[in-house]
Amino acid sequence: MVTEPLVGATQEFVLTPKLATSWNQTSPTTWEFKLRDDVKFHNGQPMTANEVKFTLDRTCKLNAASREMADYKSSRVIDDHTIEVTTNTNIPILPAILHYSNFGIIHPDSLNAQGNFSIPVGTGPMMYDSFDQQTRVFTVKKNPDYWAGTVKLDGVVFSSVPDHNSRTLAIEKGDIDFTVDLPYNEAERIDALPGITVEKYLTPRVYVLYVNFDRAPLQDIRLRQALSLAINRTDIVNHVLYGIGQPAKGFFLPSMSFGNKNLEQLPYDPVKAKALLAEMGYKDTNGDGIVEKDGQPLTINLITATNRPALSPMAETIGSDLKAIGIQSKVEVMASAAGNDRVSAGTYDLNLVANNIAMVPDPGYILPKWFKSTGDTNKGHYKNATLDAQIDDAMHTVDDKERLAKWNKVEADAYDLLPIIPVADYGVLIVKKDTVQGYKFDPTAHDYALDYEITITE
Amino acid sequence: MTLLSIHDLNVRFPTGEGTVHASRDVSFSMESGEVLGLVGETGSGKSVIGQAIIRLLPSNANITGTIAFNGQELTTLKDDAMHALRGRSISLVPQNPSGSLDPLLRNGMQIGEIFIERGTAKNTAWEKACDLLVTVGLIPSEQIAKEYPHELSGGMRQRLTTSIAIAENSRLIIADEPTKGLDFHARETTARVLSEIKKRDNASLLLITHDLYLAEHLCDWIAVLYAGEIVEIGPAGQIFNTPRHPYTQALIRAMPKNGLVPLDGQSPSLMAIPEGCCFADRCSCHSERCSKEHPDLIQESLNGGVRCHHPFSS
Amino acid sequence: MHYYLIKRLGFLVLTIIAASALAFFMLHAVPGETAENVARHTIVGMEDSVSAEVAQEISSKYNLNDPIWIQYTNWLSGLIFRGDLGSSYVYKDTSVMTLISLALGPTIILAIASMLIVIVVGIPLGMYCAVHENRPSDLIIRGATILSISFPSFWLALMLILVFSLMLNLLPVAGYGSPANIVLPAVALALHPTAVVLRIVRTSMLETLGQQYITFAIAKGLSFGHILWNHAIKNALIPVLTLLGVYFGHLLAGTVIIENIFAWPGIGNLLISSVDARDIPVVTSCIVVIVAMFLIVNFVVDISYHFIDPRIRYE
Repeated sequence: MVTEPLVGATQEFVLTPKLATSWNQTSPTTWEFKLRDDVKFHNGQPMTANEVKFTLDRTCKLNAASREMADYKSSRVIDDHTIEVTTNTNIPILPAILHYSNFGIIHPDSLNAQGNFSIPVGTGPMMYDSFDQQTRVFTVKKNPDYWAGTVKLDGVVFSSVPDHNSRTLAIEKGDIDFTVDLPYNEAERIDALPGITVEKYLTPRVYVLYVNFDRAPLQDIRLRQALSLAINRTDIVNHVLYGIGQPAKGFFLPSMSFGNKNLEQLPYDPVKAKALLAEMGYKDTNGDGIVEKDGQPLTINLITATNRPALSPMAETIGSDLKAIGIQSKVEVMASAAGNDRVSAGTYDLNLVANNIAMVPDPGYILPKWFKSTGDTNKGHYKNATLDAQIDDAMHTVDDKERLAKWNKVEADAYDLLPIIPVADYGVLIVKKDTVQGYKFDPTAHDYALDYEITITE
Repeated sequence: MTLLSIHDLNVRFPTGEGTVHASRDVSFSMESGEVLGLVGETGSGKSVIGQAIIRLLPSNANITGTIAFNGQELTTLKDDAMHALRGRSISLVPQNPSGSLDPLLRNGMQIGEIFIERGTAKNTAWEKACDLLVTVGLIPSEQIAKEYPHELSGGMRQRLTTSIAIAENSRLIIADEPTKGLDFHARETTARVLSEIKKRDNASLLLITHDLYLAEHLCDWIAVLYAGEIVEIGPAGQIFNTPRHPYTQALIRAMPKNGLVPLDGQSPSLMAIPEGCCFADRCSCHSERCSKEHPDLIQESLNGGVRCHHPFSS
Repeated sequence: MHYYLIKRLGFLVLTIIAASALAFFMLHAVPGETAENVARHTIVGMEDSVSAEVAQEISSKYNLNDPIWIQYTNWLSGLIFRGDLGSSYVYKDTSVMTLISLALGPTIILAIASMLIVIVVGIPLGMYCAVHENRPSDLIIRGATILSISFPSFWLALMLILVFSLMLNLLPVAGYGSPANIVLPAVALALHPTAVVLRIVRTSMLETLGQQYITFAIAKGLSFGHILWNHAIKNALIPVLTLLGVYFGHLLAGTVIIENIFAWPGIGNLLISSVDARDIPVVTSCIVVIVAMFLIVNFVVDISYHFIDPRIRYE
């Protein structure tokens, strides 16, 4: 709201011009961005390539995640409204990376005399008003000179109410106009209250099961398929998520333009799952309901963390789904740090997480992380030379259409191979008074954004 | 003139296991300036009589009989009228002075608060308190007044509570076991202080004690209590010289100067009073009649009598 | 007395060192790499996974690769020689001193407000119940204390919000800053200690009223009011003082649940969020401050006994 990036994105995750009007890759490692010439910072200064260079240099110096994603080398001011960005390697998704909120363009006045960030001087519809270090209450006021249109609200006060129940009560009472993330089971009751609306949206995050490929017999595709067939995704969404979210269909959200549109929801078929286990040689020989092979019962250790509210009940549900096909499931719920340790030590079979899939609105963000042998998030050590080659090829394909087709293929192949088993798309709740008008959910924001057209009617 | 006259005083305490009949048919009277000693073993009901007079018995106590003080009936007196008598006309020297002093209050204030509450200025009250400390021999009084009860010896605390009892020139002072737990020297001092008070104020003193030595020195009259009832009453000289009740005799024989002859057995439970003479079981000269028939107090005068089927003749 | 003070001070210092060491080493023993946790909480975009280089970068920035006892000694010597509690890993290198001083104010204000409620309500009602022992009013008040002791404080807090904010529309739900904001959290925090203090005061008062010096005070001819004010209350409150000290110490330690529900920016919230993010200097320092406050409150209580109860003298 205060700062804006060069590149925008639609609700379908299609890139659009924002502070930059256009861009093109001039060589495998250089990009040229044309900037708007009618944008002013909150301090009245016009936005030029100098501030953009300042921002990119600074962000990549300070934020490791941004630096690694962009593989940023340097940038050069060509003229007031043209900038050239150089990367170390060929990064076809650089514009998508620059959509990321870390790359919001700021004026050097944002820093104090010591060179530390003090107050954000950006170009957005709202300007910094105050920040209380103690209560973390942040207030912004209307930018009267906003380039994209007239800002309707006079200002916004952001206050932090960490407790779910208090937040619910605060909007019920009317202390606040807008909030997010109610307890799922409260959504219906709050929505039914006069004057308050609860809206459900999907956010670029999916519940997935990471598979530990160092543990036999998870390397067997038939077992992974059986696991997937055992999971009743529709029931999980309806009963664990209270309908907030939806069964996974591919690895991306249906709204994402770059997802493979041919992928269907993975089927729920416990009979077929049992048949696959039987094919692998697992049979219930002693009548205890658990299948064995060579006298050893088939045991799956499913771990998950407490950091997101639905993970624990979802893990329990999946555990009982697995029992239903004869797998002895052992579900463990722990603090996320403890979970990370278990993953590092490799002492688990499945790890249920809710992973962000489009911090950068491009399939090239998550697919290499997940499926490449060297991927950051490939904690299960999945290795598939064919898939590796496909991913490398897609990553360095410059033509947008051609690249997208390659990514769609990678997604489809992974959907068959199930190195990661998708469960459900992550849903969020937006709660607002009916007086709040013109709100548009921005799924590409991390996590929530208000745009300049939002207003309050009396 | 008669200051206190008690007639047929009975005190009963209902408890979960039965009724404790702590005081039975007690009658005696006291003239102004006289000292009457209530003597007997622990549990004989001596203290209950004192508490009944000043009305400090627990609220569950059942009291019958009459207690006339200066012509006023105390058992039926209204609470505020009784309140007006306490400390002014009837005072108490409490048993266990250590527990009876507020640990958080300076010694001087333990006395002084009485005057302050009745409107005396603080310094005047403090001076009067110091004077009283001198009266009971607590010197240097200024210093002792500033100290706290825990800094005093047992005997000094006894004298402090005594000084509180005489603060307002009461007509009747009830001294409840004033020598209990004190060493010989402190007992001597207490006896001296009490006799001085008696001389000074012409107050009547009801001395409740198991200490016959003290009783012999101070009392004009003695009433001997056994199992809640008076077994013998008479002038002190007569009681000590020619005791008529076997129990009185036994008590006197048990005095150190008489050779400390112990009395065997125990007094009966106050919850199960025997049909006959209460002392029969321990009596060397009891007859069959003693076990069956409760002896009446053979009253030769108001303050003279013995409760025995076989009294020694005087 | 001087010797006693020195002894207590020494004890305070030793306890602080022991508590900080315990916190420091236990945080390192908890599962999960410190650097990785810090990255997940500080670098936007690394919530799901942290690259090895970034973890290494953070480790070397904060010397997390040194042996733990060296890290601890460095932190402790900073505290002892420079009065410096170090810098936060999470809050962009803000000094821990700044973070704690920001959080301490709200915690102290809330603790004092709750304590006032405990004292103003708990003590007089406890006295009232003792004087009216087993009468209907006593039974009703004691029944209420049982309720307030048996319900968990977060539930009571939500009920308070429901009644006073939602139904009666008298007070704000959550927040910090205006005087109206303090009422509900202070009441929510005070309910439990008030109930306990009330019951202890009642018991202590009944016990005191049964003391011989009370009986003797009646025999002295003093009025009931005088006896109550000048003898009974003073004596009855002596055992309560320790309890009040303990509760005040607890309140000063910050109260995670209530601070969370009412969005109160106190030390409990700071501590919990820092534990979560493995912000070791902040956690260790919070614990030092909490322990110090607890010990100081108890020390003040002990010293106050010296002035209230003449029987107690410290040598």
